Amino acid sequence: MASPADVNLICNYGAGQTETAITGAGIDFITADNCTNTSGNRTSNPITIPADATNAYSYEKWLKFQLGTTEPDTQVTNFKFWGGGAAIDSGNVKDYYKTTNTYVQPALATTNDGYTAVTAATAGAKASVAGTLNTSGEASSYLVMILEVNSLASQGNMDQQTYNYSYDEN
Amino acid sequence: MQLLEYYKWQIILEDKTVVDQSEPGEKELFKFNKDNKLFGKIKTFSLVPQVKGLNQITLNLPENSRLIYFRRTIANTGDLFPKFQINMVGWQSTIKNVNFKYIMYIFPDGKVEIAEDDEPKYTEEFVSSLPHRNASDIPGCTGCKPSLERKK
Repeated sequence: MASPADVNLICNYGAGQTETAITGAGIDFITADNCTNTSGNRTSNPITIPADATNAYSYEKWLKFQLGTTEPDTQVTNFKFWGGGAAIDSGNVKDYYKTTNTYVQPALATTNDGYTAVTAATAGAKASVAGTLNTSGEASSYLVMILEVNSLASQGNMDQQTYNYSYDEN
Repeated sequence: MQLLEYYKWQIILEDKTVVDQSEPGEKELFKFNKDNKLFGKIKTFSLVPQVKGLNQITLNLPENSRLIYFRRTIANTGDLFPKFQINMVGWQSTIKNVNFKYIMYIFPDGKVEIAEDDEPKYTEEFVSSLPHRNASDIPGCTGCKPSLERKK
């Protein structure tokens, strides 16, 4: 095994599926379809806390794992994803995920139907993302994430969330 | 402690031919899958330490078994802890239609765990032992940090 494969975490947006490498960086849960990761982006596109029992949502964030320049000797497979397991803002803000094979332009989420709470994907019960990658440019299935905010959420900048991922290579 | 590439593998085939892992940057010719005719002829698989403080790990494959070898990379958004790899070495065999699997999970600090499932228990303890960055020190406002505002 010459060198570890170059596996990048990619954020996708727009009708044309524009790709942005976010390995080692992050994503903004906002009310716009982009993969920018700045304070200004979040300030310009905040999620408005609902006044009533109707939840507010972020735009979907479409992520995938993609092979970069350095290919694996044989394959990269068994992609897993998990969070820290703790509720955000006493459970008034919730992050959700789902996996899918086909890209659709990200939209403003209106429900968490079809999604699973990230708190359910823990170190002991990781979520799987399908894909076996061999050559540069190949990518896994998509991991789609949204943020849900209820009327009791605290105003201002939320604490940063950390998401973990793993993959097996040989 | 080196968190990546702290071992190199070495294989001894049934005919006693020795196959070494290729050098960094070189293409690896030995494939760990069924397309490689020599994959089924591995007799011994060793991990040879590339740093001080680790021991060589050698697996002698039982008859009619197949090698399992992967490196598991664990990372996170924002790089709050450094990316690291766990070496996974073992064998798989089907005896009277029953599948047997034996895997060792070898961590960068030299600890070895044999786990029945795919999740070695030591992983979280090892992650805790790594240096962690303060989230506020991460440049560029990385991570998922939404801004919420009250309806006006």
